[in-house]
Amino acid sequence: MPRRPRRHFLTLSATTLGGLLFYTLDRKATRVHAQARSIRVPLRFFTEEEALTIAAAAARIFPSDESGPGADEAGVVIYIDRQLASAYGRDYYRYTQPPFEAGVPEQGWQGKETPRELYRAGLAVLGRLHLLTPAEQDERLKQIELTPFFALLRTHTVEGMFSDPMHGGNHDLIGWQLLGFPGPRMNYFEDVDRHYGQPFRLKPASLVQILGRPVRPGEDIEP
Amino acid sequence: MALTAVNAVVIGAGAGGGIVAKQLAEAGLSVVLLERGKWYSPFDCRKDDLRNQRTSVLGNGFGPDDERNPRVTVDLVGRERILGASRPGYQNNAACVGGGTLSYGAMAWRYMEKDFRMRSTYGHVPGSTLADWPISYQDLEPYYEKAEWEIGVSGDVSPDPFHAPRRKPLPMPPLPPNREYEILHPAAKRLGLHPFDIPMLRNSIPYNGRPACMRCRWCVGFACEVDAKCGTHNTVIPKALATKNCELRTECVVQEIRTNDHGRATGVAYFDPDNHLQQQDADLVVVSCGAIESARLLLNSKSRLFPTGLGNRHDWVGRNLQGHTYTGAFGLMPEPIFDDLGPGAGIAICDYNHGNPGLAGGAMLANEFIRLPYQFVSMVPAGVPRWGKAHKDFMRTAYQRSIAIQGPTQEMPVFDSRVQADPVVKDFWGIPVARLSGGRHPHTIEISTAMAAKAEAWLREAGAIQTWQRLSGPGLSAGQHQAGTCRMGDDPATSVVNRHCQVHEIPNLFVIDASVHVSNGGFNPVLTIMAIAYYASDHLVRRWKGGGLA
Repeated sequence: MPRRPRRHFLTLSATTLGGLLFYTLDRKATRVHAQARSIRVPLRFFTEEEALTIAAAAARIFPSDESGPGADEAGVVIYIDRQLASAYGRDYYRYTQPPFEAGVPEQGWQGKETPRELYRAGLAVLGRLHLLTPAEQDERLKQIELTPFFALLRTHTVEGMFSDPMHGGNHDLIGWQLLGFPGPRMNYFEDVDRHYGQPFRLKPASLVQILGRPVRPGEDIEP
Repeated sequence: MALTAVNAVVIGAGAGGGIVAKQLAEAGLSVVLLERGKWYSPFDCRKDDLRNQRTSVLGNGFGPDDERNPRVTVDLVGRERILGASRPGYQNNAACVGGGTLSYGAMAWRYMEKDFRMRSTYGHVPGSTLADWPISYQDLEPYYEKAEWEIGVSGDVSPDPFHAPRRKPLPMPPLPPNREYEILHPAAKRLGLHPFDIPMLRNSIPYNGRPACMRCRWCVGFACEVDAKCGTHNTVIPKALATKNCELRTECVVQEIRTNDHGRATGVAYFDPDNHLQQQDADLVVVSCGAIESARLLLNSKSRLFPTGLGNRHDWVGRNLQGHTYTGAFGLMPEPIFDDLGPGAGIAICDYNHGNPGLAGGAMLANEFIRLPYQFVSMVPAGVPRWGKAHKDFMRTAYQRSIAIQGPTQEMPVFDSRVQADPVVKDFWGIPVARLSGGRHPHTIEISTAMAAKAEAWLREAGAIQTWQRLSGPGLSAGQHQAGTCRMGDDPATSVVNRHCQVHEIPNLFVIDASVHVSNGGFNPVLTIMAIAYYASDHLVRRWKGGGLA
């Protein structure tokens, strides 16, 4: 009987996860109480070491600062972990027979490697990024700025920051709060006559919150 | 074993095919409507920002699926790619009942009179097959009206002095303005332009037994969950089925159109949902699969009499593939103006569709539908870093202050922008896939660049403190507005179908969708597709004499 691989967890401090709402592996919303010091998130693709490295890189791409939270608080690394573990990670959406050529930018990534393989290779280059200072991290990221891996990482960071929380990132709608995007609201009948002349900033709501029922993300619909 | 023969088989339940099926069924013909996708309901709306028809990061929301439907694209230097259906460059529209009308933004434009007479208006454009349509705006006018009233259009074009003559107003009033509209309207007036409410296939009041728009902004890419958006899936297709003369078969993929030794179409061979090959005989065959798939089907239907495919004796099938070249500008206002009030797009101008000095055409310009945060990331101006604090600061401060104006430039058709049946790559069912190659005409780029400058000037007048343009590259254009691949014309040597959408060589075979467009207007094409479907069906029904065409 094959040995089960060791299961990895990412340990995050509850204070880093700025929001109180947290989505667990089965996407049940969990409340993290202020007393809890840390939370252990089961990883589907990364090892803990890899997750820390990717989290550090994402945090430089979309940093947390005095203006508001960033990739760390949004749980971008969880989003990336979920995507790589899903059909997307093994290239379900891409035709992967040769010939392989560079292509024009509009055609996206055209190489042979799957997103999973790009990440494994990229992780080898990044090394133990999370142990460096922010300035050193920026320096290392600048060195790989033009690689396909960085392009993918940057895209995924943005997706994890700003897509619906059902996909794994944007915890507690941090990305949407930052921008003032209200989410997939149904209607504004209550508000339509009273917003003129003043900024209109509703508290964002996710698809699950608006519908009041569980919604499975696209990755789980695939065969 | 062959199924019971019917009078007509219509392939594709989109904007064109849905209307044809209903018109024929109402006239008493027995009709089978074949659709390769599924029939979605408003409950399938799923406002999933990574999986829909516009942002297909995790796949298409409404088909086709990635696994079974590859296409080959060839770029301008001849390199081939095989793409899954949700990947950039695939030129996807949709695969479902209603076709693109399920998840479109639903602008409902009539083309202008000059859009049907481009060659007479602008003369020969070197390197382009720009030509006049064999029919005029006046021929289609009653059918535009029919589409507006039967499918349902809201809006008000009366302040637009450039619109073509019309007998009746639109059946529904426009929706009230959103914040962008209130800023852009006076600015356009100050520039001497003529802004007005975009006609939309969307209920602004209860109509056709369905409710009014609830003003969310999730139109393009999504199904409408209150069913206020009007497509063929919630209007004519249910009507067709109610006649009992029409049978809709979903998840059926047509392999080929069959012909006999007399050069007549006899029906189609298709794969049913269990992937068994079926034969459906019919007196008439109507192809309404969209410009890429219609051309592919004709090219894949080879026989002794038609060794290069149907309607292709002069090598015109699949040629002149075009869409629209969208260009425009983004602007940042000094204050947040975001109100998220749908459908987002609401105001347009047609001042620049024609009459631009030195340019053979132009575009309608309008503000934009939904702008998801995820999409906005790729719309930053040059000079803003792609990552790091400066990028974050831009996103954080710009999102609520941004307005976009853009428009679909009417393209100069190019003979070598084309659909072919790929000689090597086959889909899941073993059918050769579409092979797309070619690019945009240089003059199309020239016109679209001029349109971007017009959009930018409008935003500046509206008070934008920073503006930047969105321009187009030279690559192939098709996408949701794909058109042109089975051109309509009087001369069989330079067109595929005649003025009644009948294939020149095969009197009982019709192509009724945007494939027949000679040029594609400076507008979203759907209302024209619908008008042509009514127009061609009308002719067909008048000539129908039980069992065949008179």
